[in-house]
Amino acid sequence: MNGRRLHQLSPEAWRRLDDELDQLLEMDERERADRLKALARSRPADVPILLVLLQAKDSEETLEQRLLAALSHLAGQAAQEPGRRIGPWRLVRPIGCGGMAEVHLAERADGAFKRRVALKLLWPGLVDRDAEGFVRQERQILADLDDPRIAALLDGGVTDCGRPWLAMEYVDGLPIDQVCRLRDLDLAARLRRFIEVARAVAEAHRRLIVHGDIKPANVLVTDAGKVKLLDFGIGRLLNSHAQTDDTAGWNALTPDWSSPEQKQGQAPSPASDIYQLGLLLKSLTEDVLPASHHRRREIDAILAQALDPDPRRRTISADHLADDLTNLLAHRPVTSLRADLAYRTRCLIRRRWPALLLSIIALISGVAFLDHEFEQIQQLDERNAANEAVLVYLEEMLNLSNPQQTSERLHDSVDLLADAAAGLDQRLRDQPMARSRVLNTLGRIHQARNENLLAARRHSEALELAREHAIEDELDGALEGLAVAGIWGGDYARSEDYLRELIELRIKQGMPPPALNRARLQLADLLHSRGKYAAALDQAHAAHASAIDTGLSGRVLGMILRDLGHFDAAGQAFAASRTYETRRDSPAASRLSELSDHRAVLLLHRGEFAGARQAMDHSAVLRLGYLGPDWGGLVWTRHWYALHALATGDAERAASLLDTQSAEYASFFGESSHVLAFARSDRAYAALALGDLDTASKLFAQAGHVLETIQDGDHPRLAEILLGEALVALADERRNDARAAAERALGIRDRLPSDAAGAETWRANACRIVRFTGGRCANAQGGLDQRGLDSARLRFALEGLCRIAEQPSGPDWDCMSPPNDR
Amino acid sequence: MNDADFSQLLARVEAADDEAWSTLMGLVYGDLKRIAHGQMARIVPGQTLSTTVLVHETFEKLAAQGDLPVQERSAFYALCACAMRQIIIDHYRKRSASKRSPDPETAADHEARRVTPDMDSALIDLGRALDLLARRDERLLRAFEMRYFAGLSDEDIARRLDISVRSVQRLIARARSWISAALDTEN
Repeated sequence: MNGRRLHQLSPEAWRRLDDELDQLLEMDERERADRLKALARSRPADVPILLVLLQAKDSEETLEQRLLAALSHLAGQAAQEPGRRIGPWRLVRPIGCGGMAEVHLAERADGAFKRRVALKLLWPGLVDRDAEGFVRQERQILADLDDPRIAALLDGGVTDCGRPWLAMEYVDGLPIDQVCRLRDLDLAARLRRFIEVARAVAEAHRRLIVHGDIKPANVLVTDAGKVKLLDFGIGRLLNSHAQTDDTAGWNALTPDWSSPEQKQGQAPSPASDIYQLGLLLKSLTEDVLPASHHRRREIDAILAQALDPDPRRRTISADHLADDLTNLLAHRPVTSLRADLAYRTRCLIRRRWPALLLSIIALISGVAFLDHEFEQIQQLDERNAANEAVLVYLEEMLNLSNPQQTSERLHDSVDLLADAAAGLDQRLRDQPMARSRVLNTLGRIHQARNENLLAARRHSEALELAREHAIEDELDGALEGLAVAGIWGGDYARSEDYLRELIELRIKQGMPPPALNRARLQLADLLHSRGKYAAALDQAHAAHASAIDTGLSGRVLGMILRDLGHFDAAGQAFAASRTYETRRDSPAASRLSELSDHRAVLLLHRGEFAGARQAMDHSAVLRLGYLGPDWGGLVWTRHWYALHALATGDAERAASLLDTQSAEYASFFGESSHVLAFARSDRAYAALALGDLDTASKLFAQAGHVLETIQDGDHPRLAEILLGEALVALADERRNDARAAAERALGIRDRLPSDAAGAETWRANACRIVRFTGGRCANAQGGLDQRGLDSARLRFALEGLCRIAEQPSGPDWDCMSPPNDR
Repeated sequence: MNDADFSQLLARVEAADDEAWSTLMGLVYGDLKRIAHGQMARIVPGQTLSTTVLVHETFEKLAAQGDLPVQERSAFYALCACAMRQIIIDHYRKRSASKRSPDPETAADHEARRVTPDMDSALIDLGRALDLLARRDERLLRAFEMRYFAGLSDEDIARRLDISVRSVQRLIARARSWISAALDTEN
């Protein structure tokens, strides 16, 4: 029974159970047993709940302890002030407290060497025998335990007023379950970390040391990815009244993470450690999608054995547990699983995979391979089924070379992909469905590897096949793949067509709303990139209204509203997105970081630079978390940091960040991408602020060209570029060009909604530059909010131009009193 | 706050005045913290800290601010226990909304994340368990808090609830079962 069930009881059911409980508590053992037997017949659903309630009646001491732990936390018992000395250590700051001890970060008071420790100061009264002797004994036991995966006990003693303290190696890391969630680690990565934990526990067991309180909070992962177990053997201290009698009177330290025998008051043992390892493994694996059904079965079998209620039947050692998981990762049979035929077959295929790379063609067609490899396995005679199985398997294997799926990259994955594609036509000639499916898989893998052209080629081959043979599933996959490849490759017009066709197809097929929504949002995103804000808004609204994935739709909607100048509405959309994301069972760091980026840019536009910076830092931290410090891909945050620098007048930093970013955009998306155009335009503004007219002029021209290409009409953000060009022309003393550019910018901005506060500011900015260039503009509004990115960017650009005008060789242009700007 | 103010505050709380109630909650919370710190330093080796000791100390400190007739002490303890229970439930309700999501403000701070979740879970779990009682049976909750948060005797509780001592014992036995079960089955 779980806690939720107790909380979900209806008032009537609760009342009924409460009445029953009242009577049961009044009975003696025999009456109670009889009554429960009768209930098992009349109301069987009530019995398990009643049993839990009755079991709880004897736990007075546990209850006291839990109340104490809760109230201790409430009271925030950081009784010891920082700076206080304990033994040779000086307390730096409290880092936590619980039912057993308060924990402080501490450093050597005598400065003898620089070492930081986690100093645990046990609550008074927990150790009821000779405290000094006890600490000495513990230190002796744990001194033997020298394992890099176990936080070492470094020092220990007793304070003046008799409180035992222990100095442990300080570990700067996060609980393992949080790391797995935060970094979106895949199953293999989680298992590898868990195996380290199991090996460390096994090492301790060999030295006859039991942990006794294994739970995520005691298993940290450092930034460098190293696993560290905390509090090894410390549980002995808390159970001091059990003393030498190891059979009774132990309190399970953390009931939720205890073995059944621990809950009954038995001393922790290697078997109970294994049970706790099983619970840990369960919590680490239950929220990752298994790579496949059979893999889930393997894990379930391993879990079932580790979590056997009978300690004698449990996995025999922590090493066995680690071995089983290692086998699972290496695709060897797992001993916990009753080996059946299909299972062994899969293991065989997997294990021999490197050797089979050469015969990949045979693998795809299935026939030759099966005959050759499975001589002994006569049962596999259903050839079609086998072909299908091999095909599924092939997809899985190919996905191994997909960096988004796993970190287990095959070194020769490039060759693998090329071989796989080359042989397809010939070998799968008569199987268009299989061929198009594999082609789409290959396309997706190329896409994940940033190989846009190859991705597009595979998907269009799949598209052709799917159209020819009317294979709708693969048509869907091909259209989506082509759209994505087009977006990443800058071919926006084609992508738009593909997405529209995809939406129609999904409507026609009666696809479930989430799939339809995804396509709509992809289209909205694309239309937004192309500057077709109104059409984008329609698609985003349609998706958002369905309230299916408001995390995604809110993000897209907010971004469009923001660029239309509807800042408040954009803020609301982002807030809706955030609410959705944070309520998900396991919030995805990737989605949260993207959302944070969008919020940051909104805040920049609102002139809230400090808040924007915070949002950027937040997303940078998240990205670092799930991509790792060695991430070699695109670093989006750099662009937003550059915008922040631009808005706050640090043009040099902006320029340097944007030079790097432009190079990255160019290599990832190609020359015709809109993000590259935006980066160049931003970089040109930095150049203006630095007084570098040539660079500004060149970059504005490049950026303008791209935006003119990707939109038939005028892209709304072309206005930024035109205003920049107007300033360049002004400094060049080409006043007519300047005015023409500024007026065109104003024209573009006049088309933005008239009821949007942001758009109003942008219009006023354009108007101001028109007047600056000697033109006329009637609708300049005084008193508008001039703090945002657009205003700041123009102001710093103008200041840069002023400095040019002040030089002896500068243009004959009085920047302090520009024409008509009064 | 002077003596007269404090006595008045108590009277208003008794008269079910919401504002007075939240003032009292603030006082209980603040003093609980202060006194817990003080008590930690004074406790002698071998003596286990008990919740009742902690709470009594808190309440004595509060009571010292007002001129409280001795025979009302149990009434006062009961009131403070109730404030304390409410603080714990409120804490749970506030946190349960955002339980699974990392707080963006602290997400960047490794240290904060390392310490908080587990330390806090005991309190959250207790809040959840108390919340269950609060929503189902106010009498069980009152009996439980008077026993475990205020350390009142069966007789005192019987007087406060105007029921027999026997009934109090039955209420407490059930309340303990429900709370323990809720805590045990917390995931």
